[in-house]
Amino acid sequence: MSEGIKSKGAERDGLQRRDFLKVLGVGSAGVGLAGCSTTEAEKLLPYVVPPEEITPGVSTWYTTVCNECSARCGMWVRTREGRAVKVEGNPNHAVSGGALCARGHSSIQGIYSPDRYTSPMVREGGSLREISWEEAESRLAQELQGANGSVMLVTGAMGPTEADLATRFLSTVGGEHVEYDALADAPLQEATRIAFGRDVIPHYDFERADVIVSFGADFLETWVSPVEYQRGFARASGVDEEGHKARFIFVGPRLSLTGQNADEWLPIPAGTEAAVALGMASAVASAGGDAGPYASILDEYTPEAAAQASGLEAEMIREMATAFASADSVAVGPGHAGHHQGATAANLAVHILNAVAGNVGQTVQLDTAVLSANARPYGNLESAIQRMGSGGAGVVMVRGTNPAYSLPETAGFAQAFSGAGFKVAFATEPDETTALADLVLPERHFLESWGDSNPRPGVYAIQQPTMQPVPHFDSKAFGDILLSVAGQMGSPLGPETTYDHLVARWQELHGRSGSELNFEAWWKTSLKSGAVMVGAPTSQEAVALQNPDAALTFETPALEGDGEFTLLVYPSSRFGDGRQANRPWMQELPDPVSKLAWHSWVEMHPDAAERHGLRRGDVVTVRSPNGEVTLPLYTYVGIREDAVGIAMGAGRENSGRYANGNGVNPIRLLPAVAEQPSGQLALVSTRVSVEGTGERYRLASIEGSDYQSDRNIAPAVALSELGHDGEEDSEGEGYGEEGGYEDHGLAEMNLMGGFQPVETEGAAEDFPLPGSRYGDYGREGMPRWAMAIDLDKCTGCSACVVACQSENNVAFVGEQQVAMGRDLAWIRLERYYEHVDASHASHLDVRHLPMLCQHCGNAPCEPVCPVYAAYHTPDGLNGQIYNRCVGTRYCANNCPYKVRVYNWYTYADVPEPLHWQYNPDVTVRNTGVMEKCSFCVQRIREVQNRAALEEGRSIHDGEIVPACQQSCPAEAIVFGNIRDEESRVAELAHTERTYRVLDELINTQPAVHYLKKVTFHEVESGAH
Amino acid sequence: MQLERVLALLRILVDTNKKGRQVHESFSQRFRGPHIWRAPSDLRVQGRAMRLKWIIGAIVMVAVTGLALFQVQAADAVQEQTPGLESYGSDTEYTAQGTTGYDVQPINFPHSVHAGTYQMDCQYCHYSAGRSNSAGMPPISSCMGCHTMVAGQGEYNQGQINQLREYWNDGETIPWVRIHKVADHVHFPHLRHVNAGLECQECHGPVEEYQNAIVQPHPNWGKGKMGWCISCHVEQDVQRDCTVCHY
Repeated sequence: MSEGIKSKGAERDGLQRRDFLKVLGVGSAGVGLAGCSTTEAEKLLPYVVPPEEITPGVSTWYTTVCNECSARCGMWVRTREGRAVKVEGNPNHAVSGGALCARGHSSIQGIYSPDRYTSPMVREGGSLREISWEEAESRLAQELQGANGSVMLVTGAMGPTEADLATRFLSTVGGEHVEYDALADAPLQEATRIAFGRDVIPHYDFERADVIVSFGADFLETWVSPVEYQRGFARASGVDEEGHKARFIFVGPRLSLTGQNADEWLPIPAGTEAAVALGMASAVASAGGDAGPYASILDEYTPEAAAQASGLEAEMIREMATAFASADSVAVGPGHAGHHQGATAANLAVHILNAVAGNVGQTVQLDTAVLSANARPYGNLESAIQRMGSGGAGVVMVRGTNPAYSLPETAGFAQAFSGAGFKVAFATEPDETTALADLVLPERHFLESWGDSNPRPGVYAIQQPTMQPVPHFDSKAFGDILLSVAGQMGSPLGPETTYDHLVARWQELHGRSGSELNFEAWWKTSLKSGAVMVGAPTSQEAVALQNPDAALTFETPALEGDGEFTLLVYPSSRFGDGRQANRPWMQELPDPVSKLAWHSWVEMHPDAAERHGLRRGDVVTVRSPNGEVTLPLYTYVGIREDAVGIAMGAGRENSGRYANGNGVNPIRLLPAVAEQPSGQLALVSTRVSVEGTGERYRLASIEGSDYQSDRNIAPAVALSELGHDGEEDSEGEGYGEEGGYEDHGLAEMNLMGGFQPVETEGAAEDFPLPGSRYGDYGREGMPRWAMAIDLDKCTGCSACVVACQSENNVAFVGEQQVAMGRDLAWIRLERYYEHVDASHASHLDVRHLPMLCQHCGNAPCEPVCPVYAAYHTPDGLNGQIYNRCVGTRYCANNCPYKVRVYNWYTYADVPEPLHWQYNPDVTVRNTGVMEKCSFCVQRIREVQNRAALEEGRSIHDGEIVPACQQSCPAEAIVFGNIRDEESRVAELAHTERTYRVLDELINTQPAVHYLKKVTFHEVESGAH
Repeated sequence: MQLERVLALLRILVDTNKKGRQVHESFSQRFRGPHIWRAPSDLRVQGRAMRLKWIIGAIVMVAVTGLALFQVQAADAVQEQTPGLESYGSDTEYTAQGTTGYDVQPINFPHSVHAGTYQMDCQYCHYSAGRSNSAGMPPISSCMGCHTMVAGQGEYNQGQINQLREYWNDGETIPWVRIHKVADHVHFPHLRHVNAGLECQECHGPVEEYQNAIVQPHPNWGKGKMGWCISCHVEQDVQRDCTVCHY
């Protein structure tokens, strides 16, 4: 619609109904303006020289690499008129395979963060003063010269080219490189080194496994490579056409999101993972598995010993072991949530289990190790802190890591860092560490800069800038700063820019690639596809267990303190270790487990809470020997009674406006103990007491209830019952004869008076409904857009929620508004507990269901709208016309799915330049407008327009991909035309597991079809 | 008729407003206590102000409805009397010469020379009309493709072209004032219309006759209102579904 970088329309949508009233309200002013023009002159600014690849109004896509965590997924970035507006997974990339997690999506709010540093700053007399880049760089050069080699560079994960530049820089100016990443998994790497002699993070192939055991590793949300692992997991655990489904057992004291997706939960005490893993390994070994040098250990750690340590039954451990050994299987863990003082031993125990079951070289892959997740534990930093504190560092530079926040106070980083001669921070946004710096150098965001990644052996990807640097921020790429400073010090590093260095390194790679293309062509192809394979291993070696070179004990580690509860600190699935905390999307995203947004909470089992006279929403003080935090209590059935859990990442200070002051930092409760021998900060190392303060807190929760209360919203079906139906329901709806409302609530409701559901007539593709009073819809040849969501695959990770916010300009509203139920998300991930028992090992049944507008064929919202803003489109969408809407909210009141949300205020007014994130293809809504899922109608129209250009060809199945489907790492969502019999969605609408939410009760004829979750256990009454 | 409809709408608005207040009150009663959640004061003030605004707005609305309806009808007449719109020949009231004081556009671009005399295709400059929602404004480099050599005839035109060259030499873009704009909640796909064989002139008027820069839309543009879009869609019997344009 508009050219170049302008469009004030992105800030306001200028609803004409309102403008019209305004015109009337002020009488004569404004009369004479044409109906749809704006009051002030808008400028059309053409390009001086047009970039070749840009067509105004058409998206240009760039490949790059996501830097939000160390998994380094491949990214596609959608740009419009030179601005990045949306990120998606790159399907060509070996890691992400087309999907992206919620945190990856939020990177778009990282580049446009209003809190980014606007220019270099130097500390003078206690406060920071803006200076020029020349001044900043010459100051740094001068300090480095003065430091005489006493230089320290502390960094998080870096790409290979950046890392190479840093190494060259340090070898030129003198100094040491200290790597520290709070989310590293050093115990795993160390255990892999001890067990197999390979100093790597192994890669796990979940897709091939039939039995998956996690000893606490949260591989669906934060552990190592969540997008890739989630895809593999969903492919394995989603039931296939043959009725085949992998069984997932979660072993650990607290159900994370990963844990909630398990079929069985063994709620063992923290620290006993090693005993259980060895007990299983022992059982496997006694049945003929080869434990190599660990055979004698397994003689000692029998299932009985494991049972004693963990409180499980020995027989159950044996059964599990048999199942594990007799199928393709994989065991992982304990992950971050199990980083106690015996974490390396526990990882080693899991390796032994995998080895005796013959999984190494099969599902446990050492040859395709996760290089990008290499360990950078606290132990690396520990000695550096001592040297800093003792005056051993003239210049300390910190980049891409935030130790002042992510380490306990007693680790002494803040103090030692403050005591260093000259502190430099490379950062995009302020945080606890940069607040201490003498010199702040604003870095480019990764979407603005060159780099690369090497996430696996042989897998290389280029991180290319997707847009010109955001002009509000005078930033410079990290590598370019190093090059320039080295140049000023009289010892240039060679390349002129990071880009030159990158190209030089890739020229080398090109030489090794054996490609027939010349470098230019190969480089272009690589940029286009986003990832190249050069010398990737083609087979996996079955590495045997080696003699241990470290003395490890598998005993349950002791905890500090004498409180009643074990404190479980775990990385947040929304903020990781806190690095995404200043993203309003992430703050507003309800935590997949607790469904709480913005603030922190402490999880406690309801029985334990009851014993203490506490209930959900009470403000409690959690006290450890190291400190205390005060926060609201969240009663959670998925945690052991002797433990409480708090997520990392909140309680930020001196950071951005959206992070500051929200929640508490549980790291403050921990002692600064590095697990030996890995050096990982022990996250599970203290006991705490919990005490009510007598106050209450209004939780910003989006859920009404933890339970379905027989409402059949997310039913399940037992695996044993699948395939026995013989004949499917002729409508393809698959409602069973037993269960459902026929049996439960319906008779009762009828007794209460006059509630009689209309008999469902016709199937979803019979549209319009016979006797419909909605006019001439569904003319011949028109599609009916529909969706199918496989709940057996959906993990509840919430990537779709953020993808939708990004695509559809869904505003964030803030904690208080969320607490009032005014959150605007178009997808609500509902989570219901069916069977969760923290007292002993048993089956687990947690249901996740993404609830979005169902685009009902017989929609209750439509007839109640007095202005026809809610209406049905000929292609079967439930349309919501913003410019018609007058905000009566009748539609929301009448919607049985509660998917319509209302703009109580103009939430879309966000600080500059955060509004650059807005998708120009979607209207930005303001006060007084109802909104809801549109099935990404803008994408439908775009594809239709494109098809019309190409001689009016028809749209093929799978061409239209809504944002939620695009981002789903579990591949649970399918969208398409249900009237096309060949389409995937039509096929899925007719399976045995298909149902439509509440349809049998109220005859809404939704276009969204859900496929029931499949359980191994018999589904209990009322949940079918 | 119109008045009745406005009053009916007004009644709905007032009802809704009352209902909203009731909800609000019962809400705050429910959460009274030491841990009561309170709306931040600025929001509450805004909320109250909003209601007040509605009520005042409603009263004023009734009072001025008649007047306004009259005035809207009179708008065209008002426009005709706007100074600076003296006639320069055919259709020139929609265009203006830079020297007349009606100095809206930075350069007095004559479509008549380009699209008229030299018969240049519209899409030579508005290069994305056929393949994008947006028609595309010609980049300055496109202008300079000819105007590096073509200096124009007559002192006036040469002056205008020199202005263009100055923009080019300074590496700056030309701040054209936007004349044709549909509302932000409308997504108008140029590509569908161009590819359906619609002439640009059907909406934008006889552009090839405009001797001066465009300063206001031609009557063909129908004030960019929806009724104008719909009437054509009815005539052509093409899609009239709301979500074709509104989303």
